[in-house]
Amino acid sequence: MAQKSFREAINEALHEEMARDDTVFVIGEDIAGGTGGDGEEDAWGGVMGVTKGLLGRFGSNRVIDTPISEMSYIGAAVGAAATGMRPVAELMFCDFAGCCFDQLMNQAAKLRYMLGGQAKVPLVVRMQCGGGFNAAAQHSQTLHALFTHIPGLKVVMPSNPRDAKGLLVEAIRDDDPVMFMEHKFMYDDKGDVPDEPYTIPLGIADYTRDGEDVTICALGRMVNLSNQAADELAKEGIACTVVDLRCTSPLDEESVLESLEETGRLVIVDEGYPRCGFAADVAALAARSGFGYLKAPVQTVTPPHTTIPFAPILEELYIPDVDRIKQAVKATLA
Amino acid sequence: MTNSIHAITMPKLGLSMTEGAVVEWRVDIGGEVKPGELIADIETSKIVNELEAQVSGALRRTVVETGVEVPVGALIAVVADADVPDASIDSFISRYTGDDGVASEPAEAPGISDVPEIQEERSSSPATGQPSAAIPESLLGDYDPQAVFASHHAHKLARRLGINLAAISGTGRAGRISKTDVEDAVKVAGGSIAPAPAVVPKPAATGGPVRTTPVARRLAKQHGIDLSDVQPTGTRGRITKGDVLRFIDRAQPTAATAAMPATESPVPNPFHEHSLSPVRKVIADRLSDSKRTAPHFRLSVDVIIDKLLELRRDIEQGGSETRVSVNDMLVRAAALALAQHPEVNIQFDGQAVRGFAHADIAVAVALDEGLVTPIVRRADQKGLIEIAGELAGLVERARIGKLMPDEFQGGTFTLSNLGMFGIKSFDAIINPPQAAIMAVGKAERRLYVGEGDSGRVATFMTVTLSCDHRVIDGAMGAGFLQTFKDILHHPGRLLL
Repeated sequence: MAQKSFREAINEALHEEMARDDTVFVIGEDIAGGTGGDGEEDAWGGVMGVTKGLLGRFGSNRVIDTPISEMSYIGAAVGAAATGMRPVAELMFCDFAGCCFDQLMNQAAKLRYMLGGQAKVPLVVRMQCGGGFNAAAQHSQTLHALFTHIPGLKVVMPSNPRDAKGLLVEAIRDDDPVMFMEHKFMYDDKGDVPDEPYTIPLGIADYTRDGEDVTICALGRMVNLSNQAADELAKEGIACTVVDLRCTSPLDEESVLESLEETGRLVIVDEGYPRCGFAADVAALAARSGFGYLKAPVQTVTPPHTTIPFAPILEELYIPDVDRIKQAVKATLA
Repeated sequence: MTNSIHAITMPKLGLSMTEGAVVEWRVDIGGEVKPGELIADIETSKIVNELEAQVSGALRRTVVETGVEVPVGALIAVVADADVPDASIDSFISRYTGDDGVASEPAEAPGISDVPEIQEERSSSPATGQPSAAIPESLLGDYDPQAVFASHHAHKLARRLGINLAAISGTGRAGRISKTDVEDAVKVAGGSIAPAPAVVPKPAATGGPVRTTPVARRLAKQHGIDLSDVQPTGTRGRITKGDVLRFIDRAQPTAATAAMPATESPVPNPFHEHSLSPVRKVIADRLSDSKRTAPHFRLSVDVIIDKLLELRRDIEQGGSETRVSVNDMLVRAAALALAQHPEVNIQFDGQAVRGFAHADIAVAVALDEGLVTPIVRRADQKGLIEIAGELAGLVERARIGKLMPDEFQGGTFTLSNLGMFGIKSFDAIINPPQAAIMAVGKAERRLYVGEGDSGRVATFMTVTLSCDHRVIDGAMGAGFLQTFKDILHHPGRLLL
């Protein structure tokens, strides 16, 4: 199977879906490059090169550069979705959600419900998340919990190129608004990606490692760190199951609980803020529905509840790493 | 009957009041009270207030002992008509719930004993080996794992028990077969996989008005521990299970001490232990906070006060009805100096500095119960006679515990004088949120080197200023002290 990067996998999904369905279009800041200025069009293909090549193939009617106003173009995308299009909007950083949160929280998430199903909002908002780039407090957050909190929004965070393509195709074809979070650290990660179109259903987790001692739940980049921790622990005789949840909404509770029933020990790894976050949510699931399985207190590996520091040394300490995951696993066995 | 029983609770006498103690009951048990009549004296931080009855009836029961602090809103007494039986009063007390939710609950709290607790792990845990299973014929068989959408653990269970997953329909998201689907299908077809976990009832929790976690309370009861002896570390001052365990640990003699022969133990020194009074507690909290957070530095200066004493004699001989003391003169002098040095006439809360237009001078007064600092407001605008009269009134009210909160809270500067105890000089701890305090020693005749290197004698007094270095620098404090000294050397200015 062809090796492709995370960036190429997403690019391929966009190409395939735009070719398959002409109601699909992309919209965002600088996704075509050069609009309204003297610069070269499609020079980069968006700040991370994800939309490269779309402009030449589908034209500027379907690859729309916008002014720097999240409120306006996310609002436009919500409206387009409600009137029959399938927009894929790019929010450059998930941190900028603050500028368009009413459009997402009160419009996109609620229209279908408030209109009794007479309208639907088949919108995808792609956005970068994650720290480790020394990009400081306003460009490094991982805000999946913010979207997960809102009923009516689906939230996806892939951990590898293959899932990125399959989940994005599924998200575009889904009739509800989907927040699609791409960790900025992973665009160059390579993996097997089938050339032909395929989908991965939303809310179905994947076990990336299989072991009967401890269950590790994670999302996105944290899955890769958890895999690494599991591989190192396997050499010490500790067998971990790594549950890649893939989505926080809908959440695959079954996959968590079935593994927990087997292991009785749970570690949750997350890059989001700890309070009312993904780790707390899954820990609550274990306490609520898996209490009888637990042999040890649930461990969470998250950043501290503080703003992401700019100083590289502090940022390194801030983001969960393999050692902290290993310690947490061992704490459940102590 | 209950509606003629009235709860008397610890009143909230000020915004910051969270607890208080009954100093004295003003009515005997059985005595009649009417609305507006005194029931008790309540002591809070630094003041004693009177608690008046709002209802009429007989004081049937007092629930707290005098001198014991209880939270605001806690039940302290019960008033009811004389014909209400004692049993009703008892049950009223045992069922009483205060506004703050700190309540004594009945020993058999309904509902709590119904909470099930899983005592054992599931006996079908895969780690323990083969689950005991009886799989019906209809479900047995091979299947193609690629062709059936099932969860990892559904596949795993099917493989182990030889179940054909293709014969089972999934109820999960996107039609996925879960492990539960497999278990249910086996059950429906008349088979079995694992017994249900054993469930035992949880023992009922017992209640009490002490601030503890339920587990700590139960543990203390088991070990016969008086919870008031345990040091709480939990949230909102609660005693936790860990606190009780630590207490038990400490109470148990170690092997070494237990083995020590009794004859070698020293004769114990008898001691008396008591908890801090509210006044003492406030002093302890505020001053340790001040000493910890405010970097103190001290400046001392010797002042010759012969002219000051002369002025005082003149005033006395002038036939003034109000006696003006040296201390009154020092209050006036400090106020005038502060008016010239507004950078010292301040309050500081750790964030912002408040500069005041007038000098509100707090004067430390020693009482048996502890220190209070009544305040002479706008002392820079008041004459000596007025200051003397006002201060005498404040000290008198402080002695009988009748100071109002606004008479001792605030202030921009404090004066503390231990001269009457023969103290030569001392330094004082700043009274927050103020930023400086002046410590005055005794007046004494001293030999000193005067003009032309000749020996002279004069009446001296050593004054020490403690400053909070976060907001007052050395030169600022020194400038103020210089002005203060200058005024005392030219005491006529005190009359301006």
